[in-house]
Amino acid sequence: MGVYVITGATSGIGAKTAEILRNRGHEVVNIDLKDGDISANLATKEGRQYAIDQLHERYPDGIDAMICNAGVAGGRAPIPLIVSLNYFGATVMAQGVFDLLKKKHGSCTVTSSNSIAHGDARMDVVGMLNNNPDEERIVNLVKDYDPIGGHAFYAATKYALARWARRMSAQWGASGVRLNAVAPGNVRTAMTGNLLPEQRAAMEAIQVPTHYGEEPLMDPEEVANVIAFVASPEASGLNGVVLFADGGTDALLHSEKVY
Amino acid sequence: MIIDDYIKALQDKDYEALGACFAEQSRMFDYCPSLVGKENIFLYGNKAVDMFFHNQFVMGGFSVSDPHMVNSRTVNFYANYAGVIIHALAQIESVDDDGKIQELVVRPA
Repeated sequence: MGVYVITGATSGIGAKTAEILRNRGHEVVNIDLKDGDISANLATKEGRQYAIDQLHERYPDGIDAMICNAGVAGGRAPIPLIVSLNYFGATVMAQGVFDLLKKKHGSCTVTSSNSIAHGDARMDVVGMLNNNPDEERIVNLVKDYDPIGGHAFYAATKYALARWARRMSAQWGASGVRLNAVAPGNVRTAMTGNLLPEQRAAMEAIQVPTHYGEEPLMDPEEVANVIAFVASPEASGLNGVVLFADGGTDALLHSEKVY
Repeated sequence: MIIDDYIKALQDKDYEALGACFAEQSRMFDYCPSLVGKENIFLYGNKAVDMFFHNQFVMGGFSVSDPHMVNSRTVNFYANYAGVIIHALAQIESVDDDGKIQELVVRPA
């Protein structure tokens, strides 16, 4: 059985993924702001470094998987938090344990979002995150934006995260570490339970075909099972993939887009 | 006539009624969006039409105005794609035995 590290596993998709992995007999390490096996604020450089140091101390022989799942939605959260947690909280953590993953030929899976396909991401921010990832400067640039417009920044961080995974996957794959992104659709989580009325209406307008005429939100387990699979050795053929776990929303909105 | 139901559903932004105009096995193509730098629309099945236009009416800024019936299968109208208006021509290519649309194509007029 393996050592699976997952960020943001105190609730939502992360918690369900951790439960699935534990039920399969794996050792699961939850890194979260509260109630984590390692409690750390991944929106800060210090928190990330603490978590990375802890993992090196506890697992010097390596880890089998890193699942970078922690994130925050747009709408109420300050934009700097969205940027720091969603993008840097994932990419810095992944890079920080790359050596541990190499030791076990493990995998890294990041949680993106199917909102990356909806065309509402701030692509200027995507470019900055991917090409000039200076956290301090980017946070300073976006800090005065109204959180009400946070979805565009949320989508930007998730887009950049998926592109980061694609960019790095060749090098990582050749080093024995698979790197993939899972892009969930609208899932019932604490995040979606905290939306403004207009955000909820917008979310429900993004239809989930497998839930047609039913509850419009997916169950966290539907995504967690996909993440658990992508992170597992059974998915050894997957690398550099952005896998939409959205019940077919992306295919509905972009049926002709195959690649 | 089904074309009346179709255009009324579009004007009312009633995605359920719009989906109900189409057969379960149906196709709806719209070649106008590429004129304004957006993806053309290709939908397969009445539920896909319902779900897609739910999204477009609420979030996509899509609307239709000033329809003019050309004949029992063709209507032209102004299609508003999130603020950019295209004079469009919608043509029902085929219907099934129940009078539901099997294939409808929207092109620039």
